[in-house]
Amino acid sequence: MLNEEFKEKSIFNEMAAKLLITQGNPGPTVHCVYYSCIQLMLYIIFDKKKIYTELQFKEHTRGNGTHKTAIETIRKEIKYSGTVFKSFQREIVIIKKLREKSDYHRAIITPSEGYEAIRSGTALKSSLKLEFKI
Amino acid sequence: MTPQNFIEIKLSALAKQFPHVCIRYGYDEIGQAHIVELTPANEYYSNIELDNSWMPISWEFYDLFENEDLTFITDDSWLKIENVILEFNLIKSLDECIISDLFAPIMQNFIAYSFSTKIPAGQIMKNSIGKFLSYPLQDMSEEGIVESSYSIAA
Repeated sequence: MLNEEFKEKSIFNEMAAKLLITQGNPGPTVHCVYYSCIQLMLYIIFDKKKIYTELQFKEHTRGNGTHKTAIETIRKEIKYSGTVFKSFQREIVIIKKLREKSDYHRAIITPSEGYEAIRSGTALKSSLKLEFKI
Repeated sequence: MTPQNFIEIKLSALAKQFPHVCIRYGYDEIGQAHIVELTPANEYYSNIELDNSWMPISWEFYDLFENEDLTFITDDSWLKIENVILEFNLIKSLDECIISDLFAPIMQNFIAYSFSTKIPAGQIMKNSIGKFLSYPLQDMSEEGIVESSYSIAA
């Protein structure tokens, strides 16, 4: 039986992102999309593929952030997966940029940027779900 | 070696391997990512050989520069290169390559083609205002331009 907590958290953030964009809140939408993607990656790392235990993962994150380590771990895992790698390396930079702008810059996130975050996050998660049969 | 040096060397080789693919490189300050744009989009999405050439560049980049980000996109991406640092194969598009490849032999023949400088006599043509023109034999070569009048045959 797999632990599904990270997967559920990912789904909740995805639902929150969709709700927030319809309510006209593109900034928090971006934030939720980003966390939804990271939590799906953590689900793959800990539960679906069991690449690391949570303790091993903590050791790997020393000097780096949790998010960075999660992204790097997944990137290495899908390195030879052709279209999945192609999609991942394309979308993750968009999501990271929008999240950076949303959370750490004074700039206002526009509705079109909010929708782009949802599109990009959906594309990234779809390719990971396909690859890891989630 | 800096990330930019690495990218420059690799993209230069990629550009030689795929002369019909336009390659642009820039750096995104907010996203803190190196962006490489490959166009036309159909090459980016459908050319497996191109994939097999740029993907190893990406893998090697992440092995060498683990604190940097690199992405390969095409021109339909939300990401845009605002300040282009490097450009390769900018002018020659795929269409131009196909046209020049296909038509090169024809163009050679066309250029080599020589034609008579004499207009045969007795031909009658209808001009745009409906009058008939007849052409007597003329030598149009440089030495032999013959003064001749065109008679209008009503």
